[in-house]
Amino acid sequence: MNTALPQLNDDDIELLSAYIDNELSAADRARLEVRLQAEPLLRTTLAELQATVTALQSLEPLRPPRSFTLDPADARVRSAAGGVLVWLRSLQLAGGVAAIVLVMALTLTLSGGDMAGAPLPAAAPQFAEAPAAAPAPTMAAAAPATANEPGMAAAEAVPLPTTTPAPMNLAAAPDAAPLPTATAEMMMSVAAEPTDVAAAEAAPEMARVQEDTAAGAPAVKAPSADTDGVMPQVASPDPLEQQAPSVTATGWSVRMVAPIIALLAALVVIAAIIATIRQRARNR
Amino acid sequence: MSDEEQRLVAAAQHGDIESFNALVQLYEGRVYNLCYRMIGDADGAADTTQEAFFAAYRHLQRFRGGSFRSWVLRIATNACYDVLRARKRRPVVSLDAVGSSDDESSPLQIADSGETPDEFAQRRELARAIQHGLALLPEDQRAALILSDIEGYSYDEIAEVTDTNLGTVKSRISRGRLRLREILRQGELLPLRYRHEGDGAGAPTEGRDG
Repeated sequence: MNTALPQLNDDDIELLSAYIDNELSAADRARLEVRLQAEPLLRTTLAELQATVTALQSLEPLRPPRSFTLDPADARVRSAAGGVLVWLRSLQLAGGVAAIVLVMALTLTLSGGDMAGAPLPAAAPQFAEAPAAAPAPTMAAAAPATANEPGMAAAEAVPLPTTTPAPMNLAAAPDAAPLPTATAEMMMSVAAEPTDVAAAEAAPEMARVQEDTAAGAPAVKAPSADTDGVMPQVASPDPLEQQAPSVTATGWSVRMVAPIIALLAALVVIAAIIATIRQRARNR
Repeated sequence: MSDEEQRLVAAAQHGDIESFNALVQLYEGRVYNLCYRMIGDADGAADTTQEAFFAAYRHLQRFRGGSFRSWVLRIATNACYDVLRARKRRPVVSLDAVGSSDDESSPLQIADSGETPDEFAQRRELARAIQHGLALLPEDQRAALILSDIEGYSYDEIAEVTDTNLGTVKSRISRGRLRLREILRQGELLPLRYRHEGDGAGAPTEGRDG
């Protein structure tokens, strides 16, 4: 004679469950109580859920088999490990911030210093060679330094792709006096980030930024080709070859392109920091 | 959080391990019980409890106010998930062993004086059946059910501990209760019967008392 459903749906089960816990609003409660009068299935289900709760509540609290207080010696060992991690992380963050400041300083120097012409002759060859030669040894030096962190040795290899912006910075750096230190710092910070950032998470972000960088590259070459009065229309297959001999052209391109490169580098660093923070938040 | 607790947390954050240990003593019972119900065996629960307190100590700087109890319980819940995940990859103890009568793996239950041996045996049987049933629940439902019905925390605190919202907590609890009811039924140990056992219906009655 009653038309109760053969089985309650999830919503009704949830209603009954909340009813047991006294978590229903007065209105919902009143409505459910009316239904309980009319629907036997609702009533029996409520009784069974209530019985389950009663059974769970009947479980006695267990006495812990021992004390779990930390042995100061043991804790110190463990906390020391924790301390190193915390220290490394703050170092990493500081490195990232330092890198941004550095990049901004470089940008200012480059765009502000219109007398960039003077150091450029020396810079030009460096520009051509540095990206190939200089970063590699720096990387090699940076990687072992960070490899000390336990369990991170394998991850250390990953930073290589992320160094792409660093060589670009070499391009931006030529007329800045502190080139070697600056670059080394940059490399360190870039290399340090992935220690915390899960490679999987960092990779796509980095890849995206790298794509941006790659997309930016033609723009980098374009002005140098244009301002190179000698062969304005010739699209040289090797941009380095074209830039190296032409001092003024290189000067122009460096000055125009430096902010873009600096911006891209800053973006990479920011992306890495965001990934680090997100990772850390997830670890909580 | 009481003033005293706040003071202990602050001192512990400044490296005072004695203060931290005072906090451990405040919460080790709760943490151990949660771990035991989640993991299902005494050794695993003890290891996980210890691991949770180590993790809490290591990450103490990340605690920024709020309920310290919820924070510790959240760390413990996550430690349990980690252990269960690791066991799924490399099964060490079969979950079935939890339901069997290996007394050495069950910790001592606090004795209830004035209980007949029969009642005690029944209570143990039910406890074992429930523990077995809990082990068959999905982990998030298991955690929600333990926290609400065994440990008696509010929906709000459960949401905080399990890092989710109230709606999800409600749904996990209700689904967990329903699943557990079905499991206990299949195991021929009806909670309803348990509820009526005070009327002398402890022996199998073939459903005549309904």
